[in-house]
Amino acid sequence: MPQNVGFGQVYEDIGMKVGDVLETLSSRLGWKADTPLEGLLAGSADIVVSGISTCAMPSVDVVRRTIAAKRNVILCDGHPFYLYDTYWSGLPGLQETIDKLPETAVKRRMIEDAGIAVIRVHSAWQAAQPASAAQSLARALKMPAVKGSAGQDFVVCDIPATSVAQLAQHIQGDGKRLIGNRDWPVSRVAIIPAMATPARLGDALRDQAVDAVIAGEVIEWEGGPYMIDVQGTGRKCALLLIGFANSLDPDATALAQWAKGNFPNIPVDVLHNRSDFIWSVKGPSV
Amino acid sequence: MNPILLSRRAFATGVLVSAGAAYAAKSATPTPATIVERIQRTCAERGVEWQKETVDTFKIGPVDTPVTGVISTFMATIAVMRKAVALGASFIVSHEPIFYNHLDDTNALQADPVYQAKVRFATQHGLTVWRFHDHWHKIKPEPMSSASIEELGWARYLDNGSEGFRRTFTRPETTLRAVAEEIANRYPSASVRVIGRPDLPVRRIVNIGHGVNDVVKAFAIGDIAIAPEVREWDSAELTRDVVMLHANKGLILIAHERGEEGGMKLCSEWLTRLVPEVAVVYINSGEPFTALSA
Repeated sequence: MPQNVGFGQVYEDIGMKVGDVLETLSSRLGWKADTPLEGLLAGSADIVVSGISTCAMPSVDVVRRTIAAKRNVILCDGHPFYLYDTYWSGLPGLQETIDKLPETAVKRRMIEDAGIAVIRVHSAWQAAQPASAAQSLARALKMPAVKGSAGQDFVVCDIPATSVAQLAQHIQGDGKRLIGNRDWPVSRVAIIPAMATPARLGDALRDQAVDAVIAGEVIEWEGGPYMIDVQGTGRKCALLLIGFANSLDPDATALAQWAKGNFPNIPVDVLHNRSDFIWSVKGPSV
Repeated sequence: MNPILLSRRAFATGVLVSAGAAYAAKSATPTPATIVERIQRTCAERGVEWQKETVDTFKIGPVDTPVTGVISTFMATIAVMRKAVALGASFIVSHEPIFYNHLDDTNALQADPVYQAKVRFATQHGLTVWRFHDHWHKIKPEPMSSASIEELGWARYLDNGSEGFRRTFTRPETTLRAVAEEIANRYPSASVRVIGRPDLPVRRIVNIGHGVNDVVKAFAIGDIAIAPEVREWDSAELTRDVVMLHANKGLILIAHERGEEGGMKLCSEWLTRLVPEVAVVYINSGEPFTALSA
């Protein structure tokens, strides 16, 4: 039976295709078909949708769980074949090199055999909802966001006075890293998921009361030394890195809510990745 | 001695002793510009022609004033600049950029208070910073990995013919956890991270650069790769999947600084002979990270 899902679009309960999903992403999220390394990265527009999984990173684990749940569309931030960023993925022949890895072929075959469509919405999602990933991470950390302005891709949270070390214990995962001192006091935290660039750090640190930043990752000749120099000026503000994927993972829930609102007759699941796939060892100076 | 691995002492003394003697005869205090000319000339003598497009350029400060002392460091952070001033040195040779991007492009930083503070500090203290990255990596044997191998004590494992920054090692069988702990203890490092089964058997190890292509190539020939910084969005995700598919592979992630700091200590010894007129001091820019468990 046809269902009116608003804005004049009508889908069949059974029979909605991946092409329809792409049309909705285009009309309601602003997704553009010519976005490099994004959009429909596996599967075809003709696949009839049985259900949608949302995730941060479309890992093998997510693909397996999607198959087990009898879903066949994955909406994600990451790239299934590791070409996340246009600059870093610009190396000539990189895709061919990655394709030579036997495990890449296994993953590709797993996706193809199950008739799964992988749709990457990274840029469109970020442009449409710039603060979503930060708000999602703040919610996951049970830190109410107190500040934010239009277009801002970070949030600031006031928390009960604590230390950097105690704040770190509040966050799951074994691969966390700190730039700064674990004994510094913390009461206002800026949350910057994914890559903390100097520009994003600089924006968040304009608020002089921010005394800690939680982010995903830094490039060690960009955001890393920027934060070291912030501390070099005398400001006791720590940077806690929780991992790129871990920092984006909670936002899969927000993406699922969006999908449920826009595809109301299609089952939608959130698939979170494990946070402990990176582990750490301690040297003598720790 | 493995011809691909020159020891620290041999590296520093053998290469530049003649140049050092020649420069010592000159009495005038060198300037940053004249020191860089010496570096360029010496690189050319070592078969490293100066590239037209390179990041090895002056980043800040006067180039024609007499140098009071030379610092070699992995990265000229504000903290390193303070130490340089305390040591009375005016010229810093930094392996990595000082303004937070590979090209030290400062256009987007003009209003940034951290950038402004760094420029103000350098200017007030008459510091000059020059980057030595591209050409230093081209010196043979490759200095960063040479120093790193010495720090790890892995010369005995180095595969015959393995040269350059990306080198391979074959060792008696051990485990991924044991290798990670060995690295953490030897550098030492407080931020070694690992993807893979802790009990993974390891015999062949590949040192790699920062790209996911390196990870793929390493997995084709080795049990594990050791990376001084990769991007998590590609290399970590690829390895996560490889491990999930039960491949016997692992990835050890170390701080970029840990992997290359020793190379800039080696550089200070190199520069000491090139600039005998003033003191050359190595400043450890320090491991930026500390790992924190849940």
